Amino acid sequence: MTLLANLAARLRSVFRREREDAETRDELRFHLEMETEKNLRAGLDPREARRRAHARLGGVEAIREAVRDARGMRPAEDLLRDLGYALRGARRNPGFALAAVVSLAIPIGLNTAIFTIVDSLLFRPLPVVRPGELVDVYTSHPDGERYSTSSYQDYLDLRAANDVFTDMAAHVPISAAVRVDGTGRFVMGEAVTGNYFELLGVQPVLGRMLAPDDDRPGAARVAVISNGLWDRAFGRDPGVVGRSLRIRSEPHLVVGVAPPGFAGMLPLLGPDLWIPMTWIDDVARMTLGPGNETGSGGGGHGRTYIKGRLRDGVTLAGADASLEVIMAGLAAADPDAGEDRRVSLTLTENAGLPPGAAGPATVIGAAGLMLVGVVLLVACANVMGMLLARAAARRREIGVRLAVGASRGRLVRQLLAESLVLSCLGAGAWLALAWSVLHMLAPAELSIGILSLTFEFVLDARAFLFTVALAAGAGVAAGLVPALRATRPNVVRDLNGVVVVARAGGRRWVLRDALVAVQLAVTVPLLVLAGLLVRSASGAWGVSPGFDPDRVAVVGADLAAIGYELDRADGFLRTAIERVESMPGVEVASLASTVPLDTMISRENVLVSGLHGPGDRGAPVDSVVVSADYFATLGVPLLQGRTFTTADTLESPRVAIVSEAMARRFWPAETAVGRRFRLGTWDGPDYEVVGVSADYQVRAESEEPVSYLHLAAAQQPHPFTLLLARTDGDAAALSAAIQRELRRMEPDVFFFQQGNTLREAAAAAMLPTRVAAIVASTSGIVALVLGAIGLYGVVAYLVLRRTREFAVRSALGAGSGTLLRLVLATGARVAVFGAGAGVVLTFAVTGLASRAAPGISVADPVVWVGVLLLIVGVTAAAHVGPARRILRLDLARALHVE
Amino acid sequence: MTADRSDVLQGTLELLVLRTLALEPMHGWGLAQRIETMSGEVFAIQQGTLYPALQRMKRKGWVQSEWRVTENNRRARYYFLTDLGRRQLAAEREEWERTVNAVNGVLNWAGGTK
Repeated sequence: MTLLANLAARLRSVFRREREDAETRDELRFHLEMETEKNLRAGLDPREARRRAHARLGGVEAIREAVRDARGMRPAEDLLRDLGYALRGARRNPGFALAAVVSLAIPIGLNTAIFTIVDSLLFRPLPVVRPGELVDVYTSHPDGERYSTSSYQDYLDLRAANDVFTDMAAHVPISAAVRVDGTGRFVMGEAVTGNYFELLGVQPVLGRMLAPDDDRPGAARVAVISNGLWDRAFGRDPGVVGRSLRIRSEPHLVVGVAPPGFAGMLPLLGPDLWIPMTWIDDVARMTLGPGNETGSGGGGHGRTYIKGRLRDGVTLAGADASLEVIMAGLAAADPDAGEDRRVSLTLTENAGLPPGAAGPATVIGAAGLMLVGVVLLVACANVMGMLLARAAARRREIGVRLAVGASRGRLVRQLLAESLVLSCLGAGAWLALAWSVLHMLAPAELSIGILSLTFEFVLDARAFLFTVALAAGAGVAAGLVPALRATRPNVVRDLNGVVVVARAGGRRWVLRDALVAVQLAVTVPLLVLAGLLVRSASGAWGVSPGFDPDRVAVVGADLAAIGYELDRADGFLRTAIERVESMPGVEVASLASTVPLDTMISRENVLVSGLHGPGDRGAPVDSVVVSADYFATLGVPLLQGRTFTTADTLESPRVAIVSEAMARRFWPAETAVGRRFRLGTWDGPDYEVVGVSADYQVRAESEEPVSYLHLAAAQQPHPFTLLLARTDGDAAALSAAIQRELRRMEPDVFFFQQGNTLREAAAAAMLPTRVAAIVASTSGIVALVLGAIGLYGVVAYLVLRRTREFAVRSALGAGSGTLLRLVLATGARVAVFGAGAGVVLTFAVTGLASRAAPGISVADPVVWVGVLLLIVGVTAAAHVGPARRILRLDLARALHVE
Repeated sequence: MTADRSDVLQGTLELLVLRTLALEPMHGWGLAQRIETMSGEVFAIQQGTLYPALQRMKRKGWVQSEWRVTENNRRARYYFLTDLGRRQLAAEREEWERTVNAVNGVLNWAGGTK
């Protein structure tokens, strides 16, 4: 039988049982009528006749249940019945259902969204053949890191000597300036050995992947591109194979397109380009992970990732032991390589990120998931409160059903089915929304620094399963306690949704109050976090940064990427500055290695005699390399001394300009100009301070002036550099004009930059903080709204229950002021307890956080005042409706209520 | 009046139902009345247990049911015996009689020592 026919048969049987159940009901009704008539004929009065008929038959519900059992009803069918019942219930009470569904849909959506991102970065299954056999091979680094990348020679040695792998391949992450049809872009990629794709078992969607022949010295320059790059750079041209792209001005033949799911072997990288290892010196190697900054120089460490595929029957431990022996032999044969080198293996499947980089990424991912997880818990608490209230409204129905013999287990299951239906509807709403939104967004290109990372957010089976699991969990979490409470045997007495938790301040604290207080409590840290992030994302502009962000045009030119030597680059830039300064509207132009507020901060260790001595590491100070007119370009005044001049060259004594904060820090008692310091180590180069600049904001997250060290561009040759120009006109337009001018000078020039003006560049550098701020404030606001709804529910319910009391008080002459105070007192107590607990919670959480990451401070009065005002506002808002009802109370009617 | 009534012995309810339905198709209430009458008001069936029992017998294929209109123009579900049910009745009846004979034999034993 086909699956469909099978399903149809099952559905039919469910419907048949549904009908049979209805027939049992009719049959029992008939029975009762006959028995009642018989009793009437015997001379009983109608009431007694009916009563005896019921007594003889027994509980109708219990009988129906017994009949169902006798029929052999299976649990799955039970569940379907319950779901049908729940859906009908939701239709009968659409307002309640909608509120609950929306409450759950938003947090479930947030959770799934974060999960999708984390999953796509960290846990995506490897897109290769038999991933379980793949092993990452790391060699130890002299600095003690066990999981370090290796040199290409290590790869060759291990591959030649081992007998545990069917084959081994190597790959190195690269970044490259790529030009297609005149449009340049900066892409990440991998240089790979010729057998790389063969080893992984990756098949092209077009053309072919790289093969061993491509990796021989002297082979033609070829490249395989990713599906994404094919899309973005070639417009999915079906004839892309055979076209060429230029990498650092060298034409490469495109031989194939990788399949869409293949994002390389290093998560977070998402390479767009693969070239044979033999051409690796054409491109810049990138570091990812620890202990490999030393380059491919001596000591045998490099930036090569090595992978192997285990032979049949070889275990990871077996391979590890075998490679250790080989490595020991290699070390013995080549004493220069260092005596203590070790090999460490991990299953590629388990590793995800390289062991060193996995830590921070996992922490960030886990923090994000925790954040939105808390919001989901708040939503569950909220829906739980709503269900408790509803159980109160339905206590007659439930009581009757219990009385006529329905078993408690049945009822609990049925009530649970209702909350499950609500949460599944929520999840369904989210999935429908996500489906449409993701179709508009994907794939998203996120610029981080000068590189574009491509994420393909796919609503795949994993995200779907995660959503379903969340919905089920949320449904049970929100529904179990209300269901158990509602069906408690002692129905009549305490089933009004009110369960005494504790007594505080004269009024009974009930479960619903506690739930709302908890909701508000967890909202506080979320809001504080959101506030801090928003402040640091926008705070940079809250005060004057000390320079003019709108009047400075920025152009980044990567000359190394197109093969310029330092001398040639220097000459090019010198000419460029002259030409730019002669452009209309330009006051002054200069060079800098980074812009203020950039996230890419270089740091130097500064050693000052008196503070430091031989062997000291010195004090780390943020630094920048600039040309003479940098200060004039930014509009930062020099307080003492001079700026750099043409007299400062590679041959002249090294000079530096320090910020006022740095001068105060190292030479508090004397003038800084003329003082000396060393860079890096006690034996490092000797510098003289020739000037002191005013403080200006260089770090986004700190409003305090920081120590900032300016070094002379002429004395620190720097391969790629930012060109800054100050104008009295439109800085963005100037940036475009400068780019045109530079292109006239060098048609191949490659631009990298995050923005055309200083303001744009700084804003782009703030992107990660902004994203974090958006996630946190969305979470915080959703939690706050949910808390407000919960609070409103409690207040409305309590006020309704005390309507009569209010009416009596009013009749006895209480003014509206007194009444208002009474109404406010109901919810305000809950809000105060919740907010108070939230403050304590926040300090507890940040206490833990600051132990993990020192420097986090929550002592931002603006944020705290804002958060508390929000909570006060929300509390007040929750009272408006109920208060209006009380003030408009119709005394005569109210006194007859109940 | 209930003092001398007995609950239907566990397991005998199905036999009683089979026997009663052998007379004519009947609805549940009618079955209950008839069993009480036929047993000389000795058996007071727990009416509530009748319906699950009927359901069980239906599943075993001994009885079938259909909705019919009663003399008073009401819709009621009538149960009737199937061939399998008839054979089951014969078998159970035989078994019952053997049991009763055996028990009677024990109770009435007068021979030997007396």
